[in-house]
Amino acid sequence: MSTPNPADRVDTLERLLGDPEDVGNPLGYGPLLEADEADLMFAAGERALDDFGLNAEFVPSEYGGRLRGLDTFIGIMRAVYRRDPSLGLGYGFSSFIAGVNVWSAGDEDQCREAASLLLSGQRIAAAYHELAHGNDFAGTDCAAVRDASGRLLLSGRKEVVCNIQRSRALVVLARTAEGRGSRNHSQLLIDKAALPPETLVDLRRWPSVGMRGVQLGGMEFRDCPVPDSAVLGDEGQGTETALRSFQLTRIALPGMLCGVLDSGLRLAQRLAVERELYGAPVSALPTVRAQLADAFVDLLISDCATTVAARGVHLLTGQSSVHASAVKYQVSGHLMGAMDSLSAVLGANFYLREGRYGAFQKLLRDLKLAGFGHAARVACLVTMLPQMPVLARRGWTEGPEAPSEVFRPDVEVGALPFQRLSLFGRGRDSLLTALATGAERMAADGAAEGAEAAELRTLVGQLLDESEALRRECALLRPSDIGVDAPPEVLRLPARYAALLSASACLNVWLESGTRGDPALQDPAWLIAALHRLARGLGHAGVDDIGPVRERLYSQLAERYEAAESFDLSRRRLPS
Amino acid sequence: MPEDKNEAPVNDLEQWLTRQVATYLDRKPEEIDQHTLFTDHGLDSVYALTFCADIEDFLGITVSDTLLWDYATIRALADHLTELVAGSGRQGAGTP
Repeated sequence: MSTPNPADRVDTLERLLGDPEDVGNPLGYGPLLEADEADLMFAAGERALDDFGLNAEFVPSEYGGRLRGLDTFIGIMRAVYRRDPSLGLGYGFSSFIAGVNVWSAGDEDQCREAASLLLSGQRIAAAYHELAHGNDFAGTDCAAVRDASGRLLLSGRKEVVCNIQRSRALVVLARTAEGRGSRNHSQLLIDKAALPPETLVDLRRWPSVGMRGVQLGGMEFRDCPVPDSAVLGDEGQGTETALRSFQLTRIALPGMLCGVLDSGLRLAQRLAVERELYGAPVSALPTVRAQLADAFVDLLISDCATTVAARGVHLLTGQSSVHASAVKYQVSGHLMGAMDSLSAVLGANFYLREGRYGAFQKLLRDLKLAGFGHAARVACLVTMLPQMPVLARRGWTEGPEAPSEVFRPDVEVGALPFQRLSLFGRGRDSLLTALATGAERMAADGAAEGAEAAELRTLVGQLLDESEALRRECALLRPSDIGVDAPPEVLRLPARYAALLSASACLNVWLESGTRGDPALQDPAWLIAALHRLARGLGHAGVDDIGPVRERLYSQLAERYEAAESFDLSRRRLPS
Repeated sequence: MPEDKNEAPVNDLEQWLTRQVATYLDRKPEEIDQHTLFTDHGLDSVYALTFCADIEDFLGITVSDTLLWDYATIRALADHLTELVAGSGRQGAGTP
């Protein structure tokens, strides 16, 4: 009732954090880099997020928090990641991961317990990872076994887990039966304060390349007595709960990480306009403008893909298992590729850990998490692959039509449907279908004119050809091709699928942008550049000369930079 | 419950399931035991999900996406599906 609307919340948060480049700002890049150099969480930043009450964003509104739309959550967290990814993960996102599993499978008491912990400013660690098993959940060794009296005793280790030491509670994935079956693990919500301290032993901290302040620790459980009331859902439901819940978090993570590229672009553009080379600003060099424009396009593709996938959780019931893996794979590639490319724009300045552009190297290191954190990119492809033949057989161009709201971030969606997440999309994918329907609509509407309309037709034609070729190849997949030991050329199939989903998201967001009145979004330049980039990535020719479009995009980027606006779809005014 | 190893499939449905599993694993149907857990056969958990689609298309019913996790051998699955099909005349089979 009294919760301010999401856009206002992001503005409040941005105002609280202030201008990152202001040397007098205690929440600016200077103090933040000092904390990173010392491998510490940014304490002033954590206090600011306490003041904002960020934890309330992790708690569903029915339990007293502010969590409703997944895209809204991403938007708020993106502001945190724009400033300091370590704060994003280390303050917060790990509690969100744990929380989602509780909201998905927990009973009323467990949900209330988790909500009350979070709303009182405490943390819940997501204790899934074991060094020996990585993304291979079925291998999890940490075990909860019943003793003679029927009491659950937890033993084993969890390693490289964010905030495990300073969290008040944990969600632990533990083996509750022998073997590699999918019903052999359970999730436990445990309150550390309620258990004998000698049975919970903190392990050392693991130092890391990026997000250096984030406290990656471990814990050894020594016959820790866990009450039956800790089990989330039924015993044996742990893997299922994780696979459902992680759809949300795998969409959210790349969506939030768009904030890193947003800041990276700002720093690179800053150098490009401030620094003179050969008697002119660096931005006068066509190569530099092209690199900046391409990174801007990568950001818009990433935002479209994650925004649409996030809204799909609400509006395309049961289809998110493919979308989550697809965006985690595709968007992490765009974000990391763009930041690498921008590091060339910064030249020697990207190599320095202090000074005017010193924040860039930190963002670059922090972003590396996108490639492996919360499912490695290749693990995402392996997860999608078994669904490819079913999609080829059932869905592809005949999926149920996506409601237009999926592509309209301005329309608020309702509460998250935790109970309606499906492990398997059943061969239906409205987003892929929307590539073809979007193409038809584009042709019918005449939404672009002249040469641009022709370019869009060319690009969409290439993408539809790709879609049909991919469908044929997926239909030929043999069952023995699609296991975890799939050969690299087979893993290209889900990768191509992920690119087509991103193309569909961009096309349809653009088609719907007419209803919103943002002239920059309605300008087909970004869409042409986005589809060109995706088509080229798929081995197609794209358009003949992307040069003029790039120049226009660079001008838009420069305009946003001057106006202190974000580079993502929201085009939000930032503190300066 | 488990009796002899590699006994012959008891009905058409079991025979079909056995052939499917054999195809998935790139092995001969007669090498597939009806009482071995799918995971012990080497069917990965995510992979098992997609088997549901084959079953749905073959039987014309809708099944739960965790079907192969909950009925983890060919025999258990065949028994469960037989019940589902028998019940599907009265109401929608399984949970979507």
